Amino acid sequence: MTAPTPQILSATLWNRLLDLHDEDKGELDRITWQLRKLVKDKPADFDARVALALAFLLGGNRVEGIEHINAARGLWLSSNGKSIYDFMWLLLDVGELNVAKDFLERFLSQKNNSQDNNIRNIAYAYGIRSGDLDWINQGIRETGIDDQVAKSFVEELQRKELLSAFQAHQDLIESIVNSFSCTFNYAINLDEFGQPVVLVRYHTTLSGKERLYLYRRIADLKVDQDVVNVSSFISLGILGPQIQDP
Amino acid sequence: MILPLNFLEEAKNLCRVGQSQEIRRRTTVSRAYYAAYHHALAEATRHGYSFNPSARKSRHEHLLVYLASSGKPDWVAAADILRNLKSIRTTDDYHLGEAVSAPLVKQTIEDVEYVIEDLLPAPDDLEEAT
Repeated sequence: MTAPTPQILSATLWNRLLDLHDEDKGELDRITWQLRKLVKDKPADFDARVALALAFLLGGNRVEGIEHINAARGLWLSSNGKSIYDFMWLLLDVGELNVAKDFLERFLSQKNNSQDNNIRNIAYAYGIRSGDLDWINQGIRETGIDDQVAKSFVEELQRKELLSAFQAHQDLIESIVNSFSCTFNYAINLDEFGQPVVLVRYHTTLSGKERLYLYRRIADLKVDQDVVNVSSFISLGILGPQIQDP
Repeated sequence: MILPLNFLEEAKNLCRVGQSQEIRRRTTVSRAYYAAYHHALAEATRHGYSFNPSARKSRHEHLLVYLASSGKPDWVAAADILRNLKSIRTTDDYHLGEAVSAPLVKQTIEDVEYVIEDLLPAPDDLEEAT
């Protein structure tokens, strides 16, 4: 039996990461150990760096996650395939919004993105996290994927003249959450009355009372800056690391 | 009469019994959310809140908007946490294909305790604290 090539091994470990449940900390630690070894043997392997960064971030280790994102950044040109999408997601996960936008724009200028769900989702994620909702429309335009719920979310905020309040709201959230953010996810849904709502969840390095402290700081700023009028359009979750011991 | 804290006690009991069964995790989240909701409703009502049926909002959303618009930072924070808990509860009860993990359940109970004890303390709690 021959050992798998580094490319196959990093792809296998990546897939195992994506299959983890939130309580699979032990398995996460085992995968992290294997990825560390792989990166040590092949420090210029973009895919392995991206996978190791994700492994650290899933476990709430932002410092080492960012270290490997930064290493992967210099290897960008040697990459191909799906891990480029994964890399852009990692940038969004840790709140490197300007860098993510730069990569997204470069990527959009080089590739036909028709019907590309990955690009649409990344454009949405950037738009929501940064508060720049033009990116939701751009995600739809670039990919040609019709999305009535996302469109109605932007249109409703526009109709109620809340686009700039949404931007201010998200700027405020970033000013508090950004430096703790490990992974980020979102969904745009309709509530029971058909109002579009965006659900955003930040998985952070924090636990217990520290999360409450962040909610309180955000609330202080919301009241100070008078952006509570967009609250009913956003469900904000500040959680601990995505994968923890049960 | 049943009290909001009874919902939280039941959630904690379910948590103690064990979280290995998914149905128990889902039930725990639901009971915990309702503890926070009923507690927030009682506190808001004590301060003059009442539901307006013509508002074209659910009772839950109407309360959240009231708290979020109160101008009181702790109430605004409570509204944010409650809104997040509400979306988790919706997942638990309506989206059976989406996983509900033990760490999420644990954090849900923590957040409910923050709402009840720290952000919207009842008058008795305030007296005990002083």
